[in-house]
Amino acid sequence: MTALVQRLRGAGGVVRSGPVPLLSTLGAVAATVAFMVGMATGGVAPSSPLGLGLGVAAALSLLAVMLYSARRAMPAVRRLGPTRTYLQVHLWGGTLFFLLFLYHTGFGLPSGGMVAGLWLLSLWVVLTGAVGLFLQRAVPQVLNTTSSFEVHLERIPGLVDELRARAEAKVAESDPRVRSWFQKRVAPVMAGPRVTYRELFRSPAAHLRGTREVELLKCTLEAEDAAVVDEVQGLRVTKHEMDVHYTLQRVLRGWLVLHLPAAVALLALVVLHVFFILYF
Amino acid sequence: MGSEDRRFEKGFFSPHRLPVADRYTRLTSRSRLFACGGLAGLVLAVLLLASAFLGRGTAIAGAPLTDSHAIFDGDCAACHTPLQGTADAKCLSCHQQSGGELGIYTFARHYMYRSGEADRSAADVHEVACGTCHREHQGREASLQEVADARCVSCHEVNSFEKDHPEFDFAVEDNAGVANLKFAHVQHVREVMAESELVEPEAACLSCHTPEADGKGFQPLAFDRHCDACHLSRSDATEPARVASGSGPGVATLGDIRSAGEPGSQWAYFWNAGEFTDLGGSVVKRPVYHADPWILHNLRKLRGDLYPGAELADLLDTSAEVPPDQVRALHREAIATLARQIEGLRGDPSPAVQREIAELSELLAAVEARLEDPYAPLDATRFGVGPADEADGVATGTMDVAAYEAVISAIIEPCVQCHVVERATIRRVQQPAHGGLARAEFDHRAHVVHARCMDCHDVIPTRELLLSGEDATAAQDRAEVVNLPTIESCRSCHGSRTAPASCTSCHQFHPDKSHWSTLSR
Amino acid sequence: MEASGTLVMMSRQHGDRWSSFGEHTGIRSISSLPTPAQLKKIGILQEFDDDLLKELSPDLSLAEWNAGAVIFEQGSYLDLAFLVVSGEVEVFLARPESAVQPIFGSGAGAVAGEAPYEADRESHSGGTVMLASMDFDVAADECMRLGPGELFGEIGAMNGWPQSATARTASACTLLQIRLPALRKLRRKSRALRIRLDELYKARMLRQHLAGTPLLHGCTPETLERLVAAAELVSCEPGEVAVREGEPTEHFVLVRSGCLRLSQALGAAEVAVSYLSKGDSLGESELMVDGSGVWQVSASSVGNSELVRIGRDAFLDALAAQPELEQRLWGTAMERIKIMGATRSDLARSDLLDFTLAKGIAQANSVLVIDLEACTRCDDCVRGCASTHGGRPRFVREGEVYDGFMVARSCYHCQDPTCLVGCPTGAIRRLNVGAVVEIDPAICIGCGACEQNCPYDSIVMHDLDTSWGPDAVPSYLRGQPRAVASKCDLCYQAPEGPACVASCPHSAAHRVSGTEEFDLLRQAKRAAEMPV
Repeated sequence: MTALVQRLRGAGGVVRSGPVPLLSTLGAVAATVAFMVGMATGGVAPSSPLGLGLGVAAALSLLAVMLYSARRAMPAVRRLGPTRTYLQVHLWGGTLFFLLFLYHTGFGLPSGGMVAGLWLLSLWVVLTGAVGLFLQRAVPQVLNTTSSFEVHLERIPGLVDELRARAEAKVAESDPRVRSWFQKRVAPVMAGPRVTYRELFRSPAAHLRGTREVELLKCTLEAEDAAVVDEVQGLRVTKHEMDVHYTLQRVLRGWLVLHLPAAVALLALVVLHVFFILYF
Repeated sequence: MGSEDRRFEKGFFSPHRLPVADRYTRLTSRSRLFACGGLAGLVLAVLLLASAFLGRGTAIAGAPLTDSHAIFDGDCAACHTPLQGTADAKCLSCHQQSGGELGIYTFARHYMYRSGEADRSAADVHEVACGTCHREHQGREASLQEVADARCVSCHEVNSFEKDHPEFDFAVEDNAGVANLKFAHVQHVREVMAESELVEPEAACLSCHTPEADGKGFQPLAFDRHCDACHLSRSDATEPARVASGSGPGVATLGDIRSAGEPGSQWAYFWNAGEFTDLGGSVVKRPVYHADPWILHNLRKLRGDLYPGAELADLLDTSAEVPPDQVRALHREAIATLARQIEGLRGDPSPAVQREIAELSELLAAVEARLEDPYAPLDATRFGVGPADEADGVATGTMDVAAYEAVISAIIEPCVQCHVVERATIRRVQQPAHGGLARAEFDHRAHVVHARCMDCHDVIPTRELLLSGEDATAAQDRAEVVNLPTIESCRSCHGSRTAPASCTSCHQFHPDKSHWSTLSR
Repeated sequence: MEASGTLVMMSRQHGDRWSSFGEHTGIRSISSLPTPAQLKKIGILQEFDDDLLKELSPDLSLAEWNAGAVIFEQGSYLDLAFLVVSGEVEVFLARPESAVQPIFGSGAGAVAGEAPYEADRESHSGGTVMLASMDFDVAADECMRLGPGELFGEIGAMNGWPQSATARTASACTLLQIRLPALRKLRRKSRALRIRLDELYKARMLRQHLAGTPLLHGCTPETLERLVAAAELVSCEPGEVAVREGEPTEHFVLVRSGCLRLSQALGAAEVAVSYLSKGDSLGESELMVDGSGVWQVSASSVGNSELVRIGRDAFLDALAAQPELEQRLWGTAMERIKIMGATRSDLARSDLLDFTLAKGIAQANSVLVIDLEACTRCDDCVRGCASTHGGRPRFVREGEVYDGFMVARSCYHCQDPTCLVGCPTGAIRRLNVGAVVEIDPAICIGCGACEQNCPYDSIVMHDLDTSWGPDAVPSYLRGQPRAVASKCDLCYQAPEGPACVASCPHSAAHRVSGTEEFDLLRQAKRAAEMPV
């Protein structure tokens, strides 16, 4: 059982234990001490020996951070260890990188296009990374509380089509009032997956308005047709949940658009930066 | 094989068989993102490389160059050599040349660079590249001269001013030199305070030590500016001196000088004859001026008789009080005199004479150089001329030396109160060997707000003596004693936690113009 | 375990649903859809009317076998029982060393290791793994001969156990082959047949099973004999109540196969408190505590299950004769009482128990559970799976959601794998390394039987981009697009464990076995969320 408990200790994406956080913290403390000493004895500039060392350390930590992407690109190579270790390195190393980077610049503002680019990209990548971390923590929680089922993002359009087909089949044989209600109220909603943030923060009043209309409609209908309306309403609720999934899962994937290309560009710039330092 | 055999309800989604597509294994969207990033990086790289190698390179250069180097913006090759960084030769290609004018920017002028030697001209093992200290690409406004301590202490074995900066030279070295002046600070302060009814002793200091216009330092002490006020008002007279007539030594009267009409004695025609009191066979001059021409004339004359060949000492040694505007005239006179002497000696083959000719020629060259370049160092004493030279000796044994000395002592009686006179020569007043900080600057103006003179200048315990009323011992209070503070006085305020103590706050590699003259001393 | 030569051969000979054991292995002719007239000739079927026989005939066939042909091998899973119509069949142990394995009392825990792939390695070298069972009570060097009217293979079929011995025709013979649905139906309809089957089980297996049960270890032969005599075999339909709370306890119950949900009344509701699976027993405390004598729990069958009931008096006699047995039973009883108490005090656990029972997780050896609050839907688990299995993922990242955890549609590696039953080629099999159920793609013909049989949609058919060659057997496959069934194999060949778990960067994917581990996982997560 102890092995199981050991294994389960990682439940919930906990990234605060293990050697990676410890080493990163030690690295950060060492860098901070070095930086403080440097500041006390005449300041730290990127080109001073200390600044240079910090810069090299920052570049190395950036490389270590990028290993996460490399690891994910080749999941078949099992010898490289579990991916979660790489994620730990990614998160802690990323933070360490930003610290080292700031120390390397001596908290100086950038000057010149290249340095400004490095500066802005680093800031951007770290910020979007933090945003991504927040999203990856928050969005699943929201999904978990707002949705009763789990669905694959790619399947949603197909499933919505299916839902609509079912609803149309149900409505086709029913009262014209039901059909017109369906055409007016339901069909536009079920036309396809929608990105809807409103669903997440939908007010109870808005919800009620819809249901009251349905209740009124049902009062005028035969029991059979009322049952159809209820079924359609059920499908509609499922569709709403699909939309929530569609929206949030796209958010979960989409934030990478902000983070990843910038990170790759940052790596390119760092390589270039090193080249120019060596060349000139 | 119907699904009715199934034991469990399979749920809403299960009838859909998930298409097992390649998209699970292909990172389509992620690789697209990678491609985007890679492309952006590539574009940036190409732009920057183009900027570096085809364009002006401003994109990669960081901050712009300083104002003075702004002309090189975009011309990387002006300073950078690929894979070698910035070579000193590139700096020198301009700075050695332009420095030729005044020598200001030459490396030889980095007089504090190594050991304070002013004439460093060759590189040595401690040579470091210019760029090591003078950082470029720090922006237009940045100063190339502002050098962080870290740069200095990376080579110099000094970590900080407060911990291990060496003691000042003047406080360490034996500075009991020769001042050739009889002077006691404490006595002067007392008398000045009494006379001017001063309350603060510092006011007494300022009555002689006059600040420069910029307030940093003090004007050089000069008799007519500082001593004059008291010492001339005494209107001292000479002792009665025997007037020269027939045999035996004596002084020349005003009339004698007028009638002789020697070069440089025109003053005699305009001099007030009323200052001389004829006592019959002897004369008394009243009053006596500083550098009184009559006294100097007679002194020179008598010395010329007593110690032949020593005229030159007049020119060089007693010129301490020569007004600056007359220095060049004096030098020209010295050159003429030297040339005449050399001409006179020529033709005598004896080795001693030849040696003297050589010495004189050297002196001549030095004086000429000095005339050309007022900043070149020169110390007359090193040439061994003047009355100290034993080889000259007393001219003849038949002379009545005592009689001469009696006359001499009579006319210089007012002088010897302050001056040291040896062998009928008023010794030139020497400044102390270390008159101040040789390799650093000190700004008094910045300090007077915080401290009084004697808070720092306490080697002679002036304040204590004034309070106790005691007289200073001769050893304590002489002109030779350098009354400058030690490094500990500075450290009582300057340190990492208090007043600034960075290297460049005192050590200036390119001192301002006011210091050029002291540089060349 | 490598697919044996015979299995490969059988796959080549596949002609239809019935020719699993094809011509080359000895079937001379086979008549599927036998007429009632044909069937009436067979002893045990005489009592049934024509309508029923007609209804059963798709699941019955008559095959004529050559002499010396292997009917099935030890360890294979069959959904068939065989009735000897004429001729003789001999039954023997091909691998005596793995023959005797206890069924009762070995408990689910022995298989449900915390890390199946590791635990299995150990158990392979000598632990108690419930893999083999005994259809035949044969000694290692003995050979049992079965004549006309004898039934064999039925215990494996009914209980989903692998065959415990190899069967071979001793002479040319005719066999009636009965598929499991028909067997169940026959058993239900015919009291005589049921008695016959039970007698057979008692005669061939029960004594051995009881003797091999740790609970009854050390019993004298006489005691065992008495127990066997008092034993009664019970089959339960899905949902059937075997034991009702509050009723007098008349039996001690042993579970042969299937799964029983134990529940207690709590107010008006029936609350699940625990469950019994293959090998577990029920009734210890009720029988042993004087004055109790009524059931403390209700037990209802989740699916089809087979029970052994031992009469109260015989059981108490056995207890009186074997005092050490009582000690052992007390241990089991205490364990159950503890678990039930824990569940009663935590109704969420009861809810979980119902969920796991309903979804088959209680009987699972390894379930892929994804923590939806940590999962970022990045699909790295699917990608990891696909890349370790030649580009085709073996599970679907969708499934039932329970309390923030999603049970992915990945093979559960059930303790009673129904998917094994009916594979015509033996491509799907349980590896000797333990709980892992694997499909050998080399001999899979893509018939889809396992996919249909899996109740949890965990087997996916893949279209390979090739077609069957011109020499493919059976012939109807020739030129057809080739498909293959694929399912999770727990990456049993990789020492690093399942790729899905290792590939998850957010520690959201977990492999759990059974309800207990699922509950531990939930508790671990709650503990991690709680501020310390």
